[in-house]
Amino acid sequence: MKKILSITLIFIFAIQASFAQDVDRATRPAAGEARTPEIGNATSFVLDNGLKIFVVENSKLPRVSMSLIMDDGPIYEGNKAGYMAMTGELMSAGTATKTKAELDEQVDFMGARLSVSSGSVFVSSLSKYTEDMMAIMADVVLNPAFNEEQFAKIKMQMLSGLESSKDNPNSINAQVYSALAYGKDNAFGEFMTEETVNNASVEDCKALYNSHWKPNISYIAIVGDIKAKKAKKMVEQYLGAWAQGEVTKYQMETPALPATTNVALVNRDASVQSVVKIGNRIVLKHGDPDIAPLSVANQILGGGMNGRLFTNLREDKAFTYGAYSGYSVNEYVSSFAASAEVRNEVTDSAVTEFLYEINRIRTEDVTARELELAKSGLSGSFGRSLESANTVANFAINIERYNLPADYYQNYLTRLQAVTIEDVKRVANKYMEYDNLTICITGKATEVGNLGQFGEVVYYDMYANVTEAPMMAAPEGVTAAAVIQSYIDAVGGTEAISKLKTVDSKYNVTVSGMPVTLEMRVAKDLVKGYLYEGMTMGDQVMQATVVNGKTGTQSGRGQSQPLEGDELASKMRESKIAFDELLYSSEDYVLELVGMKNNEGTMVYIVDVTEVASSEKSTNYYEVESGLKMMTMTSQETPQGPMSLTNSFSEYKAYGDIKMPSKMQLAAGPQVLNFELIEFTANKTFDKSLLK
Amino acid sequence: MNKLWLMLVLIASTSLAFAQKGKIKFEEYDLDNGLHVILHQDNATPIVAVTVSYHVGSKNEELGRTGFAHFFEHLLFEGTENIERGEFDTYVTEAGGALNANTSQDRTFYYEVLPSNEFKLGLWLESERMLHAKIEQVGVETQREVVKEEKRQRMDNQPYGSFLYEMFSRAYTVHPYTWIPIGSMDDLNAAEIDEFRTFYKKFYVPNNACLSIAGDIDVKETKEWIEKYFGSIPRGEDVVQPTIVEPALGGEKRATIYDNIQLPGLMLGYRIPPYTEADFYAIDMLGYVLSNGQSSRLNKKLVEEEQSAIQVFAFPFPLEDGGLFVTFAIANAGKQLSDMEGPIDAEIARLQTELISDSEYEKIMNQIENDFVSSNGRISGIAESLSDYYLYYGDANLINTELALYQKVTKEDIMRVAKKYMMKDNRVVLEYLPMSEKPAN
Repeated sequence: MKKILSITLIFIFAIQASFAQDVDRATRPAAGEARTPEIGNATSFVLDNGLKIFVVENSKLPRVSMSLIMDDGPIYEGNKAGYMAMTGELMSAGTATKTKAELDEQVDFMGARLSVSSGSVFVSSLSKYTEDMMAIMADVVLNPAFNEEQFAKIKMQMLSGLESSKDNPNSINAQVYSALAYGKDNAFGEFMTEETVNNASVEDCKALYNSHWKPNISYIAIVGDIKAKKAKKMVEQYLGAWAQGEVTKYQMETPALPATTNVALVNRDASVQSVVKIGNRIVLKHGDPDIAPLSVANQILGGGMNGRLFTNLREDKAFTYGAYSGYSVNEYVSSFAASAEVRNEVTDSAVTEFLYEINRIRTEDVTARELELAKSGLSGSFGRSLESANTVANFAINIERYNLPADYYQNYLTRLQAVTIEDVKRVANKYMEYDNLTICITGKATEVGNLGQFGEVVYYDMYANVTEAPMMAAPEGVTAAAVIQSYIDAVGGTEAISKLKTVDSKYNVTVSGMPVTLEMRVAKDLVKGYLYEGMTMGDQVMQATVVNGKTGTQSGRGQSQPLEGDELASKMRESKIAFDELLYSSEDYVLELVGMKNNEGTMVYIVDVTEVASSEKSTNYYEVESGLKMMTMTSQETPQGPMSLTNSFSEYKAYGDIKMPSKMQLAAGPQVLNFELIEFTANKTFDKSLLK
Repeated sequence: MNKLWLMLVLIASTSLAFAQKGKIKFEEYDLDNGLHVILHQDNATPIVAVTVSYHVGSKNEELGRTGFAHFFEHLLFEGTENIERGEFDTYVTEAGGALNANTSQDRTFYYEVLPSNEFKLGLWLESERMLHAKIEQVGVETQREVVKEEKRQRMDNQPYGSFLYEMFSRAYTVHPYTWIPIGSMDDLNAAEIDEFRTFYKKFYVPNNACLSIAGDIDVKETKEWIEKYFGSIPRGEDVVQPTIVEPALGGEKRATIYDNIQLPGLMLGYRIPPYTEADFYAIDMLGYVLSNGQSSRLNKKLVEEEQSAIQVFAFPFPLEDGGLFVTFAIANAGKQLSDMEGPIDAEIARLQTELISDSEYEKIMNQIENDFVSSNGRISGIAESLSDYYLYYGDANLINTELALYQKVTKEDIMRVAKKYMMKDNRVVLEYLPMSEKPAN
């Protein structure tokens, strides 16, 4: 009894306590009953000429909007890219009875909006002006003037627009990404340039209009403060006479995925952030059952503030203001891509994180929590979109246009709810590539870090043409002489080098396409000026150069001739020097620091070295960080004309106090010779027998 | 629990809630702690916008500590005593909602749009923020970096991105409007955690805030829950808004800015009075006359006829203590800034000496009416408008009556304000030129 009483008392106190408290702040408040209102409807009609009309009545505000959409599909514009956009502009630039100025004045006077594109017309106004706007829409659709003067103005504006986009890193990146992911030879990857815009004429616009602006492929959505019957009557009155016609459908092959991941870099010196887009083409049509699971997978990966990309790249690493992923649905082709704008220095790290997240969603199950959260986010977004009556109109058009079931959007939430963890993994693997990606970055090449770790880095210009790695100015204070000195220091330093009296290097040489191995030997007596440079195959001497302090000979395959003039002088200089760089500070050479660039992932200084006497120039690349020489490029005259010779050096090793590249490569056109240093001796007595 | 919110929409609204089309009905009152509440009921769609506006913006900052108000906008997503770091947005997304915020020179605005059966969630989240947001080192460090990236993305990496900064720093020299909300990176780096906490205690108090809710609510029920969540939040010290008066510009200021652009841009900023002043409506209408629609004066002259500009805008940038009337023109390829400045000045001179025509007047009235109706298309917009009208004018009903105030403006008024404010000695002129035109030193 006592126990019961005390429990009762506790109970009473508890109740009183909860009344005294306002609310429990420690926990999130419970949701109320969700409202299930009635389904909205669009009323539809078809005119005799095939034009389909959808009306959604909504008298909440005294406004009406009308959208006319031609389902004319994509068009490949080719060398006149831009004429489609110009057609749209031109069609609102005057009709048979009204100049542009008159049209603008009329629309503005009503406080209305008119906008026209190559495949659509949109008008909106207060409901009292609905019929006036319908009349204007019909006039634009049926009687475009295609005025030459207006066309010229539009062309000029287009060219200005292109000009300004040259400095917009987002447009540059989007353009190059599309060109690479889809290829330039179709409607999805092509883009306009000054050249293509200049190629376009009024005739192209007229032709587009005549071939594609037909009512039988068109839909008009009328939304707002108007009754369906009245809307139909109005459309019939103004657009009933629009003549129908056959429209050819665009055809294209689905572009292939790249064989391996492409890393594309568009250099922009002014960038303080890199625009990064990583993705691949996909084929996902309206009505595809993969859409619901992919929307969930995308939401989890990069759908907003709760996406893994946002959480990783912004909240955790603070690389960016926002990182997201996205995809679209299209009857031909579209993309799945992740993107962000990140500060320069973390570009490579950001790409690492993008790839990490893409890989993670492909290989690991998402959690039940993530799945639930994604579905809530998507269903909420769907719900909020229904605040706009236009959404319902779009749904109705889509059902018609893409042959979707009549209850497609009513079942949206059901489809969403049915997505499982396995579904997410399946579609992640199907639509988010990992090994066949296009990684497209527009940013400052000198600061983006090591992108070579993701694939071969190819530089592009903003027109998606392959271009050279950009040359940049070397930092303040760096001189050619300093770069040379860095090299000398890196290979041992002046003092250590000066202790060399003789050097002797033996190489194994392989030639591309030849199954044989040759040997090369370079021996010098630096004090006496003896030089032997010989290439042998087994016992046979292919070529040998000899300098004995006074004279020199070049021989090969049994023949020999003396070295003379500049050639001799040059070889005699070489015979006294272990490293050519030691000569460069003398008056016999002129140096120029050309700049700095990213050579396959390594920053290098570029120095032009010209031998005064012969005017022979060598362009040398020295690694910024280590000072070591990576490459020299010279041009040799041949009977067939000048030939470029590239000498590359790698895998420097220490030989006593000296460093030498243990591997060299000489490329002369298609011929490539690879040298491996198998033996290096210093200060052993020079073998005079070599001088014969 | 079924978190998934099954929703099919009611679009066809035969609702009689609005006898007069477009009129927004609402209730407003104050809590004991000074929190101003505005409620608008609209049961058409089962969603609700829960918003809180704090009367603090960049003009409440101090020199050397700029960027605080906007920084706080970020910080207030970091969590509260009862909401773990990272969970704030999760709660909203999980409920099927969306959230965001924005900061201006004058105020900071936070909002959630939620399914209507989750309105209490909105109240809880916003009251948590107001009562005891967590201001912690880890949050501060992260958001510092994020704000830096935001600045880079919006300003440094964008063509013409610096123009507001360049414009305001010259148009205002004494008043805090001289700096812009994003503030200076140096100031943000230098700020200590205690300074952030002081800022919070000073400005994030109910007597400095307005709770504005619009959507599918039951007003009585909502009031009860507002009292439960916000009622016990203690009133703070009275917030004193700055009373610094910026002296007259005293002469045209010109500057050349070299930027990573291809097309030169011309920006003119005329000093205008606070937007609560009667002249504001006439000034706004100047903007309509000059650049609203393709038949507007500047569009017609510069874009259509002379083709010197690819785009031109003229609009007021209104602020509580006085803003700027901005004209922004981007030259067509091959055109110079002088090709545009002359004609712009000529059009302004015309407005100062000739009345606009009757049809032009009727045109802009129709445009204004159209914009007015459109601005009430979404409940989140309605909630924000109610809040702003209260905060700046002390009159939320302007959402219904403001149109009439525009309609009172006469052609003579428009000419008068053109003469009074669009004077050369009252303006800042910025010439944006491509980097390539920068003279080599």
